[in-house]
Amino acid sequence: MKTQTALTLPLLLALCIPVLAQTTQPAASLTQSILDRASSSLVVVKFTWDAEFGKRELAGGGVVVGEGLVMVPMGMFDPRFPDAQITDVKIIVPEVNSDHEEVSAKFVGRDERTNVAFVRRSSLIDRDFKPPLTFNDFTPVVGQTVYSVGLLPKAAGYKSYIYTTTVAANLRGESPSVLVSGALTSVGSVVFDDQGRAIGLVQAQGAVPIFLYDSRADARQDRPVDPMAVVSNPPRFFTPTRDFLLSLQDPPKDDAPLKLAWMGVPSLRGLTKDESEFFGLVDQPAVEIGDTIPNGPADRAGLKPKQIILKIDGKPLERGDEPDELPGILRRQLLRKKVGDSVTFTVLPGRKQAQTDVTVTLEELPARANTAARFYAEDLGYSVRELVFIDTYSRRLPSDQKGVLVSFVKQQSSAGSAKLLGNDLVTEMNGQPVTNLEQFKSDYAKFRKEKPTEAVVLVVIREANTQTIRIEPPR
Amino acid sequence: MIGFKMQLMNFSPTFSRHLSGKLFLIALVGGCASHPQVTTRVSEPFPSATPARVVDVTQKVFPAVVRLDVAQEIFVAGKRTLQRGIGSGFIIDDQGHVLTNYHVAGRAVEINITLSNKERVPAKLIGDDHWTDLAVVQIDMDVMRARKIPFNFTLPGDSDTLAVGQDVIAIGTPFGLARTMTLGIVSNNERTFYPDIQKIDEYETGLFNNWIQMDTPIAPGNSGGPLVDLDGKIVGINTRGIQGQALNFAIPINTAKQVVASILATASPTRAGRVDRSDLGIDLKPLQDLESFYNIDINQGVLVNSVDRNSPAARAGVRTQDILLAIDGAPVNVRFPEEVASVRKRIADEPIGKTLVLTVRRGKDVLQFKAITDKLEGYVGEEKGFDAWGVTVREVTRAYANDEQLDDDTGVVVTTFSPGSPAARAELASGDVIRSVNGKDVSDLTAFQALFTESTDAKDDRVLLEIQRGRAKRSAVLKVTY
Repeated sequence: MKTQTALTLPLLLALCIPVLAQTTQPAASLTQSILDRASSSLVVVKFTWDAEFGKRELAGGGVVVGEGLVMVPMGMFDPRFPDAQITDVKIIVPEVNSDHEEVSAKFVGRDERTNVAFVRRSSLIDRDFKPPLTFNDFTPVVGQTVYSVGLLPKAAGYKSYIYTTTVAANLRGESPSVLVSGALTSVGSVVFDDQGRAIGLVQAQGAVPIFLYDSRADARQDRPVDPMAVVSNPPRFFTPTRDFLLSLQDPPKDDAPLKLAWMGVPSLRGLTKDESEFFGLVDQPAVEIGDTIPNGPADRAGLKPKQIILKIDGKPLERGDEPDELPGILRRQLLRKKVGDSVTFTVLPGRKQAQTDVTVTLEELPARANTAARFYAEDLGYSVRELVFIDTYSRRLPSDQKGVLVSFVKQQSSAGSAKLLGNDLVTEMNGQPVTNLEQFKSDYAKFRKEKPTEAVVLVVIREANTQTIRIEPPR
Repeated sequence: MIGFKMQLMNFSPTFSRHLSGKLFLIALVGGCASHPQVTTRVSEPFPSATPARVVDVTQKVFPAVVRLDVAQEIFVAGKRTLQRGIGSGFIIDDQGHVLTNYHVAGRAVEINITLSNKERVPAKLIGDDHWTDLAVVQIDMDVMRARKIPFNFTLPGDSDTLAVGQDVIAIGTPFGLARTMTLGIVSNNERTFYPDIQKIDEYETGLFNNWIQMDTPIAPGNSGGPLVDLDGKIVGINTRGIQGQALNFAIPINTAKQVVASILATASPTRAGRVDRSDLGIDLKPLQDLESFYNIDINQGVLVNSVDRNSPAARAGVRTQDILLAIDGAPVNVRFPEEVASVRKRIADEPIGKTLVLTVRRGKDVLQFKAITDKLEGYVGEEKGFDAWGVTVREVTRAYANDEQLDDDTGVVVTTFSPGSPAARAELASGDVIRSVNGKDVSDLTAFQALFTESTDAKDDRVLLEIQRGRAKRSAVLKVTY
């Protein structure tokens, strides 16, 4: 392959000059047709992050992929934003010669299998909504010319723009990504090949600006943010279609959260070459199990810490570019399976021991913090949320531990003065055990109503200790 | 931390609730002494700081104040190494014992003392106690005799009778400026930093005493030097300060008296003197403003804020939210933060292994539990370096295991490693707990040392370590070259 390229390259170069001159017209029309085609499906997704400390309006680029359905990079809906705080979602259809059109929408959800998220138009409008764009699963080839089409920031009227560049490398990483030699348009842009086929999506990465508009940047007087930063600091990586095809084929349904598959192994580590050789493995990706959730799927199937996973369903583990990436690749592979699927792992229990097969039946990934119900005790300046699996696991508490978790403490508030801290796990309020969020909410409201001048006394678990926190209400 | 390093004082200018981070240790210079034959004056409760009086006291104490140049053992980048600093101290008896701060001379392997007459003589560490930030060193008396060097020693006063507002003198070596005397007043005689815990590096300190706060100007290098009343008696050991704020802190001499006695009583030519203390494993909280919540009388008992796992109190059945009313029938009452240290000290002063009857109020019930005290252990265990692997490790203490939420206190914890060493290449991290070496369990530092020796003697070129990192286990393979 290499030899061939070396031989043909001078020939190509020699021929190129006259050809280029001849093809100027067709290339321009290809660019124009890609730009037209793409921009008819590009929209802005705007929402308000309604947090305890204030509202923040954010907008980013998305692409219509189905009837009223818009796909955006998951980076726009940071997994740390609680779902309940994502409000006032709008789809903006940019117009050049008239006002932008704003359509009400709802947040459908994130798809952690593929790093994309979806919003759906909720109001019916008179005229046709934007037509969906079809993505094609073509693996980008190094050297191939690609075009990205995206939207400029709000400061430039969300105008669509196009860049031409070349595929520089296909990277594996925890998820595949494609490096280009030049620049790509803003996050949420669509990447096309020279046949005009949509072959990828520009994802958030590194310090590249994710948003086309951020009200916080507007408000910053001390350190002004360049609203056109994406022009000077453009993305250089895109995600090939194959990585998010699953989401397009089976997009998340409204009101039916995705059930993600899980085996209950929170800690995995890729072995280095030295370590692999010590365990007698040669040129073979291997992942060591660090911990298993007691009574989780893996634990029940017999997987144990320190065992080394070599194969999944008889096939060697996928390679990463670095051993550090192996756990991510494996985790992602499992995430893409379905709840109830069986997976057979071939494991090495230790040095000079025989490999064994262990079959694990995947279960549903437990709820995560961003979907947990919350309660903002605005009067005293703190928020709590339901406990989720990771809260008890990370604190080494029994999985049936009751309580609520402090998710926010306002500075200069009663709770702040009382030195209540984020991540405190509240087990008692006013001498009564806390069982769940609902009970906490109603007991709290009742107490504050009946005894508005009395202090609220919370007992919390903080790291290795418990603390008694007395929150004095403002006078 | 011993302080003659400027970065020690690198606290931010604003005074926030993280007071602990802003206090500097004023390690390193100092000393104060008074002649054994200090003439006591006509009883005058708070003699005024007339120039004559101040000069008189200073002249008496000066000849007992020394400067210490110290090399302390520390572990950095996978190796045992020496850290040099300067501090103050004062001679306390005719044997040439010098009292100073732990953060000046604790863990010292090399000490030189400069007397007020500018003579320099070697000294050695007799014992130390990080809990009170005190250390006792002894001047090499053979050298003193051979060179016929005269010296004086100080007389201790009574820090319990110190009055706020009374004049006090500090003597020491601020920034290496030996024999510096400064004058100020006692600003507060029962300062506590509760609930913050002061630390010397990672060593807990100040849990068992309140502090004398004074506006006497002191600076890094004053640490270990004496705070003197106008009778020329030592009332405190200058230890900490908030730079540039005239907010400085001294350890009361009455705290030091007990510590010195214990160190001198336990020291032997082969072993450093120490202070053994008892522990119940409970965190106490003042009950101020919580009395009505717990429905108890004002000034009755102390709140058990937290109970350490596997601690004597936990084993006895004491729970968080209990109100501890009495120990062996004697009431313990903590209404204010200033009262916490004395109750902690009360428990610490009990003999190790003694059964204590704890009377506890739980809801409406009054219960009694019997707890057998454990020996108090700090967060920081004994540390050693293992050059062939390029790693330094520490014993896992019970306190460390509790704070870091480890399953138990077996194993050793990685503290530092040298770049490019087998440990670094195997991606060990600070805080990793080594549980086994080549499949053999590591119960403690001694066991680790033995397994290290066994492996290096056998010239193993691959060593398998089992590591606990957070909740996860991992294997690490050291690739060792000889």
